[in-house]
Amino acid sequence: MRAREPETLHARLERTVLNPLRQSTRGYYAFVLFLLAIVVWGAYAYIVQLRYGLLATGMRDVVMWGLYLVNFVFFIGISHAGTLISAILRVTNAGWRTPVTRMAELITVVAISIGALMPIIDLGHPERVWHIIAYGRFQSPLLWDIISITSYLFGSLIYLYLPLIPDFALIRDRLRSSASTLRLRIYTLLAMGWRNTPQQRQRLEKAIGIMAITIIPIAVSVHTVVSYVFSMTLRPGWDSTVFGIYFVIGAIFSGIASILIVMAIFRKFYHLEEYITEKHFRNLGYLLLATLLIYLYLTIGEYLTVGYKLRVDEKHLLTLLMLGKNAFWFWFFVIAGMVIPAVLLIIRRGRVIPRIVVAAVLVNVAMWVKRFVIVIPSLQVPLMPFEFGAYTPTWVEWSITAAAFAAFMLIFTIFAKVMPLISIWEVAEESEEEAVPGQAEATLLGRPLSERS
Amino acid sequence: MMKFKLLLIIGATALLLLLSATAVLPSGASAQEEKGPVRIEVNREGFSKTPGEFELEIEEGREVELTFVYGDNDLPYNNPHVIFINGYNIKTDTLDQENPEVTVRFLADKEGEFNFMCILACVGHAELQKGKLIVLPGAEPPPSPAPEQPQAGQPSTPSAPETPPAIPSLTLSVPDQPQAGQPLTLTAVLQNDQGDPIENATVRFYTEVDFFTTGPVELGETITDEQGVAIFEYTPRLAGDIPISVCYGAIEATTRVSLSRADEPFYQPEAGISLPAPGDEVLVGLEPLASEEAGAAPSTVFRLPGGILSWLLIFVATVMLIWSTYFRVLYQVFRIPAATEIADTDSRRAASVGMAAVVLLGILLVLLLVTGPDSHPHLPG
Repeated sequence: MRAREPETLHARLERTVLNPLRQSTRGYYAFVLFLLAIVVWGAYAYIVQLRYGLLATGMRDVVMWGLYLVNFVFFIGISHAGTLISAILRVTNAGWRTPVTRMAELITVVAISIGALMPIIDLGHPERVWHIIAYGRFQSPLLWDIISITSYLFGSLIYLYLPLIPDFALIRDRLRSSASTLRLRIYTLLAMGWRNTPQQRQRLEKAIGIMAITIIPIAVSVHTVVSYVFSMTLRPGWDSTVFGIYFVIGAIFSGIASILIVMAIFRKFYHLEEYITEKHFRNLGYLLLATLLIYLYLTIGEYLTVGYKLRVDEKHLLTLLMLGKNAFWFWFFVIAGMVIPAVLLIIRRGRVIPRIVVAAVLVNVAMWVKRFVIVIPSLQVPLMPFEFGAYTPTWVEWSITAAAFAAFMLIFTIFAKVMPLISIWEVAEESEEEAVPGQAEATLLGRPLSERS
Repeated sequence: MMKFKLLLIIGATALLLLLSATAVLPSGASAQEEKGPVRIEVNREGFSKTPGEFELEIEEGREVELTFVYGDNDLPYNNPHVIFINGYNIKTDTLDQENPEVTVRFLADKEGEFNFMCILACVGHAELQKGKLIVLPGAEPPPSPAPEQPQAGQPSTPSAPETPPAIPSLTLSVPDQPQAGQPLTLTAVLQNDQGDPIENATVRFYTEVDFFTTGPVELGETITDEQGVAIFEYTPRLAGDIPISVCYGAIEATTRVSLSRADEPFYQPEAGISLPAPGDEVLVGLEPLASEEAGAAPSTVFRLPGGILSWLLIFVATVMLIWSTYFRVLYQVFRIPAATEIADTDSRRAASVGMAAVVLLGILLVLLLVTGPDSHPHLPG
């Protein structure tokens, strides 16, 4: 009787990562249905808005931007996750990134897609979105926004797809017997005839390298341009020269927090503990702390310069933020978004992963509140001697907000069933590199290239 | 006898009921002259569901009490209103689901017709602009008592002759053919009752402005010189017929000015810093840029502020560089199947067709964008 050969690292990696694509539990379907119900409710709320107009929201002539713009800035912000982790760490050759790059790139694509919908919902008349192209003015930051977000979305889609090609080829080969004909055909098409020949690898790596370098400045430009929509005005709180870098750092800050949360969830539910380890959480925790400190510095600088000069309108804004009806949200952001996470990240007591994930959750919630604090109070301060504006989101806006978050989670949940959440070929390469330095290029998925021809 | 008493009681009760029913205005009809508290329902169909003009008549000198009642409870969301009464400058508190009744009380001491409307952006806003408060002339004041006649036999006391109060005279003159956007010289002349000029007197100039409400707005003040003349320069921004007044204490002189429309836009915004450009402004389009009537968009034109090598081309070139990088990367990817002899599916043609479609779409979008109307035709180059 022959003893069973121990499972290799690569075989175990394939089995673990491809398992979600093979089967789904009842809990999975229940969760999908739950998210779908929220999305459908949000769609109903949107229909109510289309029927009654933007009067169904809390937005009026004074406070004319509300939750939709807050969501827009938030989702575009967390889309920076993929760029930072995948592109910057790839360019700097940080090998530990490989198990998390796929999730990060997916966050980018999904977040941009949801975020880009928000201004269209905010328009009221969605059919007028084509006016941006037909009647666009180059002087307008809104047009710059459209161009940069579209470029970033397209680039992120390419950047997500490129590293997926070898994994689609793997799925094509491994699931040939179990997948349906249509599914197999789709994977085959997406795999682009991948056979891991040297010429194909060279072409793919060149393409990935070009995209990694190209996508970084585009990502920086996206959130800079989003900030210009605010900072190119003369409103108190928005009229700031530091808004560009402030928004970019804030985006990276909330993006890292998003990756941590997504990593923790999928690690738990898909049993990826062997590949997404404490080291990943620790390293991302350091990055989170670094961006927190930079964001704290920029926040202090922003409010200090405003408070020192204390122009009349900015005095009203600061009073509104720190002592008035928005004070709770402002101080919530400061304490829950910066102070408590800093403590959790600096004081290394207790278990690593729960501590860092709690910090990440607090950061994400507080950064959504921070976007609210940026958008709404500045609009409440009148530009003419008039009453202060008031804004209370209606159930329509809350429903659409909930649907946006549900759609984000739903798309992620569905994608987890159609593509591997970990880049198998990159993790395998990295493992080979750690085991036998310099040999990683000669093998893929545990089999030397010479055996494949 | 009992029957008669009973009939009297019933009749009096019916009369009381009829009188109290007129306190709530009937819908769809002009209001009668109101003497007691008035309740007006406010909803998206209009005041008390009256489409079109809604009138309320009140006698001058009376104490008025108006209660506005929120009538949009059938809507699935809140539809707040704030009612403003022109002329009396009265604004109610917010009327909404949480505060369904608001009451205002005032003395109708001004005769005339005054518009009242909702000043919030609400559902049914257009219908709620047509409220009219009509203050009818009040009763004539009692005649002044006649002077005492001397009794027979009594010597008459000669009364002191009445001296009229010394009232200065104030006149205001404006130039002929004034134009909106051009400086207007207002000349006021202040003289005493003897016709002598009053020097070093402060006179104030006003005009009437319609901004949420109609009322006087002070333009400025100036001091009369030794000829009693005060000159004030004012640049009106709107064409039309406007009243201009000058006041000295309680004395006022008013004149109406007819301002003709300016020949060209008088507002010249700063075009920013004039950086040296390689060339002059280049316009490529169907017809030259020209100021058009308000409401009409300028004609489609392709405008390069600094000539052919302007900042616009640099911006467009940067964007095109990014997108051409994407196409280059995709081309690398679409050539993957050709790099191997094993072909699962020949996707090369699909790649070529796809790329051609995307390039064409991109060119179309860029053309649409750069030929969009320029909204600042009057800016200097």
